[in-house]
Amino acid sequence: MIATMGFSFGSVAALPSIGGLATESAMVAFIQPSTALQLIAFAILLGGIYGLVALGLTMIFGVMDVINFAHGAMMVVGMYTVWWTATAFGLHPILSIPLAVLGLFALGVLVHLTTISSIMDAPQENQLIVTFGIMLILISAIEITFSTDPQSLGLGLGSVAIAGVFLPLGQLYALLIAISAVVVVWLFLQRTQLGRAIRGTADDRTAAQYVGINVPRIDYLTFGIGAALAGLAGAVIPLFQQINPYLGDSYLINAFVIVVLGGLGSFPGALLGGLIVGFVHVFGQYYLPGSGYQISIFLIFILVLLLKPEGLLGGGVSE
Amino acid sequence: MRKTTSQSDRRSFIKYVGAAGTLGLAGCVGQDPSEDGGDGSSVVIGSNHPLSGSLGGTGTRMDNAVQLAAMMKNENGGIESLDGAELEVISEDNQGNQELGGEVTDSLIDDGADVITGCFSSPVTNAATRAAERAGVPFVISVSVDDAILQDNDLQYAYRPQPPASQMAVDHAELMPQVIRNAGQEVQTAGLYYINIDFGQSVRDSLREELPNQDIEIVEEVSIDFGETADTAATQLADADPDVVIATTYEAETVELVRAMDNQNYAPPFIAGCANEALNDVGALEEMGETVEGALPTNFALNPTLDRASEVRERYESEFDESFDANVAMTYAATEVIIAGIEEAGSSDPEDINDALSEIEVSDHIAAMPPISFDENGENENALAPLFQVQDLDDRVVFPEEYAETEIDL
Amino acid sequence: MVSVSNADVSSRLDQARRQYRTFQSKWYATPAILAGIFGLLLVLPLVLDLYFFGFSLGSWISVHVLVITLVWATAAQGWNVMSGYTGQFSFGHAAFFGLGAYGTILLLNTVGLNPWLGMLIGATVASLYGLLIGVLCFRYDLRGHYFALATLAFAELLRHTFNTFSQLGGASGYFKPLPRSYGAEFGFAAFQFRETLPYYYIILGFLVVVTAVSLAIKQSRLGLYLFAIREDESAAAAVGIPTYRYKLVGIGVSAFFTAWAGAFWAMYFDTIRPDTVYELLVNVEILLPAIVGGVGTVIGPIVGAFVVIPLSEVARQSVDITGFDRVIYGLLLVGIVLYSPQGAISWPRRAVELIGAYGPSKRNASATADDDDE
Repeated sequence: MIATMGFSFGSVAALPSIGGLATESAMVAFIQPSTALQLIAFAILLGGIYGLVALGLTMIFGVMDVINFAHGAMMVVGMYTVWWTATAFGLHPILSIPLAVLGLFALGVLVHLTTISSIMDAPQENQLIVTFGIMLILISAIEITFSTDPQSLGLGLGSVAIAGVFLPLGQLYALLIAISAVVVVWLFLQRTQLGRAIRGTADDRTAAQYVGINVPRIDYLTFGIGAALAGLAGAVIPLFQQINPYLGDSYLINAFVIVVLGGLGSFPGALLGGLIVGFVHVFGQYYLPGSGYQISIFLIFILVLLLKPEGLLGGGVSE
Repeated sequence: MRKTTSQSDRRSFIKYVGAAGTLGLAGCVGQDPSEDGGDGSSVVIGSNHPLSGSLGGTGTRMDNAVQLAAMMKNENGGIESLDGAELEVISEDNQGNQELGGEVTDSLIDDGADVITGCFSSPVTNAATRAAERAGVPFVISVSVDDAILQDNDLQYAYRPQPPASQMAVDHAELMPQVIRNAGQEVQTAGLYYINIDFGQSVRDSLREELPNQDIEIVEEVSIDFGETADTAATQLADADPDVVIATTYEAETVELVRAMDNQNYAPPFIAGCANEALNDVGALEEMGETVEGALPTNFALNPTLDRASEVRERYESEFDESFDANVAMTYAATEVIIAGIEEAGSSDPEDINDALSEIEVSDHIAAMPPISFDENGENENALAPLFQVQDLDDRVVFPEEYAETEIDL
Repeated sequence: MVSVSNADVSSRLDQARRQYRTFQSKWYATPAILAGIFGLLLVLPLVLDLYFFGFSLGSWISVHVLVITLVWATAAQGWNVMSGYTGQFSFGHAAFFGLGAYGTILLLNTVGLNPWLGMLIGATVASLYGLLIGVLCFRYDLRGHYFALATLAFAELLRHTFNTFSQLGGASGYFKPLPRSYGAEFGFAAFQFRETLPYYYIILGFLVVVTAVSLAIKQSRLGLYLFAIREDESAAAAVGIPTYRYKLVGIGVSAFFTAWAGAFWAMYFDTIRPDTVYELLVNVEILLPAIVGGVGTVIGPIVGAFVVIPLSEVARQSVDITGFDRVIYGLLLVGIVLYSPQGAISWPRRAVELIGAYGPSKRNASATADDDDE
């Protein structure tokens, strides 16, 4: 659509003087294979981050059946932890990222114990308002403390080129961190006693109680881990992007989409959903005007909800 | 029993007294502490800007500019035509929120504002100017680009010293190619990169109209939403390969674009900006580095050829420890227009100030444009957005020549 | 006051409590309370500027704030018909609010259609969109979180669509034209006034209508069915209630009236944009009064709106640190939901019980058991 716009302007404006160059390059845009490869690379990089954001959300969702609206705000706290420790104390991101993860775990446990734990059985609208209130508090606190101006680590990591495809290093590191996080959490859930208890609780809370699992303890651990994952997702973002207190919003909405796409509580589902949204996002942005990519994401979301509400990799709807 | 509510009583009482103290609360029957009404001793400027929310950073700097202009006027003896009456500035936060635009205006007027300025975000300004119109209080827009605020409406109390979106696009479409072509280089195609909100879309629409008149074809239009990375956008622009990339965004989105272009080894022959925040911000320029050296942004500007302008700039930077960007400069100039209006009116009555503003010609201002005077819509007839060039990672006015602080270097 | 003995006070309170209880259980209680509330609202703007003991309500809230309060009360009342009564929790009512606003202004701008007609068309479109959502979601039996997220997606879809296509106004949206541009004078017919007060009475009128409809539904057989669906949908279906059809009725009615609030919003403010009427936050603002006031009750959304909006206004005006008001607001939201899950309409009863519990005649609060609505 944009290209045709260019053409129509061209026919009006370029009559006397010029012509060829511009039209030619606009046409090339649709057929260059290197462009396709480049876009695929971006889609994977973006999809990885999306997957990481969705991971914490899906965990809380799956185990506790709570929609955590403060997830994006927790990401933002993670971002500012990294940025602040780097600018105030000169801490290297290698150190500050784990710090953000620990900090957010603590914050998550605190939030759970003070608020979520007492509304576990409340109607979902009450849970929603509470997590929404927490979001307001966190974001406003960040605003007051660090101002609303965009901040940057100013790393300028640059990129590597492989076969004509550019990989920005910031995003590449972020993706690697995301993958390792997934592996670690997966191993934790599969191989440890606690992890198995969490999975058991996710499958059936009542049964878990009967077999002696301390479900309230599982809940606060889950919420802590979910928050820590949000913190990690936020913490890697300053590696490649300017941050501001509202950056969580744009990730949060798509993270909801991903969680449902992949199936509630499904880890591989979160990653697959992340990739799908990453691809739709990047290719939609390239070929569609304005926010066409976002419209496509929602249409796919609605479609999946209707055709396979348990999600692409979900086991079954536990309602 | 009644004592239990004393907490809220006290708060409202404090608020009430506070309000009455700053003004001469018009409708307060019975108890009016300031018998002489306070008029004559001070004139009140209301500042309606976003002090929090996503625009809070810029809004606060703009609010500071209003404060500084009043402060400097007071230091120089106040309003002469009112026997040295002092200017007082009252500020309130509109949070960049459209619903609060009118409400904050009403509240400033209730608190005694004789004339108002604001609001940065166009929808907020739109609501605010209408509220001022209803109350019959003049409103001088500090910064807001949307044409429709004044041009679609029949407002008698609203004025805009800055060039609106269409004027900025006209200026950019004229000045930028002229400078490039004067230097013996070519520019035939453009790629637009804009933020996908009202501000970006309205500049985009104007550029769509104006660029073809200068024989420039738009070969690509790329939008970006808040909080996105610009990787795909950079690929799109690289594929379209325009002679000039014209960016219209707030700070973060252009920083993102430049980072993405660097990462893809893409550098268009020219980078330009129309109403671009990043290319007129020294901090952002430093972050973007070499790539933006030589970039050609159009924006309203501080007049660099004036000594007084650089004094204001230095004073601002030392007073608030904040950078003095284009928005700050324009807000300061808007406040100068207000002050000139009050001087001219010789009165603190909103009606008189409005009459003065509608006829005024302000030549002593710090903006890089000819004397400011308003047409029947309240638009500045001589509004101008000069062309800058980024040189040594600093934004310098280079064109038109009467405002140029340095030579163009292409 | 001072001369009255303690025992006297407590016996009076006891009596008051008993009376209150019997009053509450009468069928006419809700209409009576509503009549009282609306009577109060009718005169409220007129007493704002009166001074009692040296201060006035007007120093806290303006007519403007009252208008906003009623807008969200109306929208919340609309939301309540579906989400409160049937328990199908919608997190996307901004879609209907926005369609109402856009229907009105878009038709006014493009074909000069009178805003009252535009409002009805907008509301009809919203209703159809609601039915579409309903048909798609209920057919596949989406419930709970899934339904909430689906409705959110439908709302966000509209936001991005209107934002992208300039045929729909683009990101700048539409300006409200002056009455003379559509051949009208300021006044009721034009849906535009120079003063705030007439707007207040219009939105109050909307609220009365929506509340009356809501009450009528609740006290009818339809209301019974909707409640049955909320309590146990499969049981309701088992006794032969066509749950699918009734849920559709719920969403259609709900969308229709929520759109009214949006239409009013568009005629009250000067511009509408996708960012203001379809925004994520609007979804929250619509349902918040109902939740704070009491979900599924007729009085709850109104009471809730009068808790939430003036609170945020007072917080905004009385806190000096920029942005801190939202921290307080957030804390209040969390606090209200945590400590008063029944909603604000339970406050008078709880207050009575509390006072009773501390009186000498420690009659215990086992009375809390009958926790019915209103």
